[in-house]
Amino acid sequence: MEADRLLANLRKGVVESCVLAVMRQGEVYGVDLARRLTASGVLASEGTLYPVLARLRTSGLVTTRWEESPSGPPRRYYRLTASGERDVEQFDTTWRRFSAAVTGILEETA
Amino acid sequence: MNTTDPEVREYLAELRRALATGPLGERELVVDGVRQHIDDALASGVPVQQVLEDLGDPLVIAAAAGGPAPAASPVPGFLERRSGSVLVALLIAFGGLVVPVAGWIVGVVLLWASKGWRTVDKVVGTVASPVLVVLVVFGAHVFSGVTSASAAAPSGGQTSLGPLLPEAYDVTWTVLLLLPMIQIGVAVYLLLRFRPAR
Repeated sequence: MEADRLLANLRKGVVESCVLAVMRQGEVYGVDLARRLTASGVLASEGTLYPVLARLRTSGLVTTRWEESPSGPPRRYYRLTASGERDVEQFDTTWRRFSAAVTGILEETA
Repeated sequence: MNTTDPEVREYLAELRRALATGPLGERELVVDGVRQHIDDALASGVPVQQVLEDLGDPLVIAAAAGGPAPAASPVPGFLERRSGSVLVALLIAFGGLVVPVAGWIVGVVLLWASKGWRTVDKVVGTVASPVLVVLVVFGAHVFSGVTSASAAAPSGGQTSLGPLLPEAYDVTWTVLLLLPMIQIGVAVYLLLRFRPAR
């Protein structure tokens, strides 16, 4: 499988959980979230955050609020719901175990 | 809102078109989120070209849409918690005493409604009492038949569990004494087999 498609497949599995994880530190607004995740390589481009956020909002894992900004347009802040918190904790546990297993396989067969 | 900028308007129109084949609700959320993003980025001084380039190709964004919605972990209901399991067990053990038959039936209904037991356990919890009662009565019947035959009772052929009581009365007695004990046993089994939701 070519590198791009491999990367796309891997991202699909984890991108939602990574978005949730960033929000563990508190509410964020879209641009910050997009920049951070694109810089780390989890998002292909900043815009691809928004379909993910749309799904997370529809599923009740993320909620939003508006805040008036003195120096510009009002901003939308995104934060976790209780369900979102539960899901990301579950992901944290599952991911650590799973990625350790994958790394283990690659190391023993290198 | 900076939708007056022709480049931004074109970008958003392209995004809408690319999302047109997907679910309507999600489309609006995505376009809205991207519009917010553009407004914020422009307000912080980033040039339009850069903002749109960082956002990426609308087709790629649309391709990321329409995935399966993540299922939120269901909030454990009352029947999936310990306290719920205790209620079900109590109804099965004692429901029939409080409101004959109906009380027990309510317990069984709640048992099946709960996600805290596997189907195997639910089947056991439902049929164990009737089956055990039938087995005990049948066994006692057979046993008394054997003993009375070997004891050569004067009224040959009459089977009873005691020398002085008629058969029908014995069966009723057996059921009335054993049934509550069996129900309690079933209830204890259910409490032990309960798996509360995390």
